[in-house]
Amino acid sequence: MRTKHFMTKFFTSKFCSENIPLDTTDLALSDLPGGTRGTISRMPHCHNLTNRFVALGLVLGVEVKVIQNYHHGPLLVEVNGTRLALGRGEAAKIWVRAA
Amino acid sequence: MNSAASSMTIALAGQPNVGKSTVFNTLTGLGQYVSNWPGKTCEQKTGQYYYEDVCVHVVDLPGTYSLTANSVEERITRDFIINCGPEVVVVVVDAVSLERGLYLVAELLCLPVRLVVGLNRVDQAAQQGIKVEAHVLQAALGVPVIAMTASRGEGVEGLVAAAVQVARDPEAWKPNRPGIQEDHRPVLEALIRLIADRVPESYPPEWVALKLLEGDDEVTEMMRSQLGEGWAGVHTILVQHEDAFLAVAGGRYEWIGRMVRAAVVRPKAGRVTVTDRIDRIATHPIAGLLLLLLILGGVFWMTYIIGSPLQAWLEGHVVQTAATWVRSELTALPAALNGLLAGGLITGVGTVLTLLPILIIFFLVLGVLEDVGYMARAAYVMDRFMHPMGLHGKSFLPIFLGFGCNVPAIMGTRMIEAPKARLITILVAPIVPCTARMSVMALLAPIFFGQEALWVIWGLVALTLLVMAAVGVGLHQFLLGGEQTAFIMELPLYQAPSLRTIAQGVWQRTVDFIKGAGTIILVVSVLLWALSTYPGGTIDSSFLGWFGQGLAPVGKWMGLDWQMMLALLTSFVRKENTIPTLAVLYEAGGESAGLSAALAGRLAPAAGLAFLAVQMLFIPCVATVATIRQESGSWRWTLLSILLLLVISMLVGIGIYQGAVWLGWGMN
Repeated sequence: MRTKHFMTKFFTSKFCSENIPLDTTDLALSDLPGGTRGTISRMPHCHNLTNRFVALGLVLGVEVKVIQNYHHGPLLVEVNGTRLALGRGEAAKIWVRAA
Repeated sequence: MNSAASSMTIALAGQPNVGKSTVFNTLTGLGQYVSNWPGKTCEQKTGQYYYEDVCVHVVDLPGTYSLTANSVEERITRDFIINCGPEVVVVVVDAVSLERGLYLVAELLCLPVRLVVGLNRVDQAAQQGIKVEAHVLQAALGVPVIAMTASRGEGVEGLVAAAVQVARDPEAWKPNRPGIQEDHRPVLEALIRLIADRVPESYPPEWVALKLLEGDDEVTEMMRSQLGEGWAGVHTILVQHEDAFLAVAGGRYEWIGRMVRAAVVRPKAGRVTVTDRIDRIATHPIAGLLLLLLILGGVFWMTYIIGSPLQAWLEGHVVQTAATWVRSELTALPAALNGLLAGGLITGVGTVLTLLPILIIFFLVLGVLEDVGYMARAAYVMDRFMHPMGLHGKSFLPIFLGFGCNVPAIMGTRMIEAPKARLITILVAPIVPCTARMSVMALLAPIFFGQEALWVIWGLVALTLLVMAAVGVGLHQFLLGGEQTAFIMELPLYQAPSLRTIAQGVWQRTVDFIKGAGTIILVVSVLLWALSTYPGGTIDSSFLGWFGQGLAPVGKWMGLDWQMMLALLTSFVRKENTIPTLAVLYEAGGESAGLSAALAGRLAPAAGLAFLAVQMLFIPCVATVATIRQESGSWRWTLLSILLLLVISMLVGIGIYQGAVWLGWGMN
């Protein structure tokens, strides 16, 4: 129910044109299964949220490893040696290209 | 002792969880001075360190990941650097997550201040096979880089030496600054040209331009008023290049990539670290919950085994003895003064004193869990359960501690960064039934309900928690408009606890409690003593007594007489007071046996149920209220909290009584 709500919010939000163009294999970080890696290909266009992502190392082109994703509740990712807990809603706003 | 020429100020900056406070504690020891940042509820710590003949004032800036997002900590950090002009800023970065740490360095390098980088946790990095060459990094950055292991005190003095050196020879400091990504260079330059002659003197124009591109609220507001009509041109550029903030961040990370390329060697294959292994259990949705339960069970067991007996001993042997001694020995004093001493002052001091054992145990446990790195895991595991209240996992622990005592629960909210989430937690936490309220309940429920007491107790605890959730959801809608604050939290690597850091934390929080809340508790205790003594000399002929009698009409809706209402009022001093007050008012003499005889049959089941419910939800005790004031920094929110609970408890009491009467429980 909540995922759906965030997804609609996600699709209606604007994205940066200069991001790496979306590939058909790109998917939301929240859909990347545990134990897999992906490279960030799109970031949300919301200053406040993206500025927080960026400060923690979640930035375009960086490799993210999903440590835990139970497809419900928050997920656990690792980026450049930092472990982060991300709310499902927040993770749904980041696009990644699966490695 | 030192002349002005040989003293300097350095500010300590760093991201959360990099060991910054360990560096600060090592440098300043117990000679710290803690106050609040002007106009903010955020703690400011300062201290001194003598290096050779130089007196170094160390200012501990709040931990911040960047200087971009608009949190209080970030504002304080940059305002201090821009307006207070420290000679040097020392940035602590973690060797294990160097890239992220350098992001803050990249931001700081755009401010008009000289930097020294403290590369902390080189030992932990080495354990993971990560090798960071400090001198290579130093050459790349053009900024002194000192390798350290702050937990063992290694490298901390070298860090100060480097800072003093930079302050003595400012010309030698030639940093390699990050820039914006090439394709956005012209935009930035155009922006700088537009604003350059209107930027306030202490601000570097390029930094202001970068912050405008990043959509920084404060800087945008400042420049809008500075530029007046000229703002339109700036606004056009900002709208056209709405995505430029990604280029700013991208530029910083490109710079970081260049800085670390030669300096860092990472292991090829990812190793399975200690953190990996522990987290497999600690963050598992089921195993993690069980572990958390186990830890919390252990905490309460410790409070029960050590805290409660100590509390009882202090109460019986110190507080009571002192009061008795004053009453019997100081008879030379006028009766009023004697009463004030024994009834008011000693009660107040006693409240603070008897709270200390439990507080110190909780602070200790909180400190250990935080220092080891477990706290973030507990928050992660509990996150999904806290969401409906608009809170994150971080609010769980403080609220849970409330079952022991509401005071450390409210002090524990300090670890919640988002101010509104913290405020909601502060307002919700006092609803959790603490041990004092539970003990009153445990004594009265069997008197009212005999065999069924256990069910009544369970039911009322469940009701209390439901009310808490409802208040949380309500406040969430009212304060945040139902909006979810983003949940992004770092899970730091596990590390061995540092006794020094923990001890200092416990000491600091305890002193804070005694100084802040303790003073209020003392004043209110004396005041309440006077109100319950004058003018008549006994409680039923006192101001408080009259007030209780005045409340009789409200009590009637709940089936309670004025004695019961007065007992509720006196529970404000300490929740346990309900029992002795009832004993005095019903002239029951000896406590529980006499009281049981006096109360049995006096109240209908409906009224008994209402009384117990109100007792659970009533205004928190003085100590809790004083702590709410101390932690929220506002009398307004404190009064609101009192009022909220007063109204809720009365409504619930009336609802329960009327409902129960309707069900036919109104008769004895």
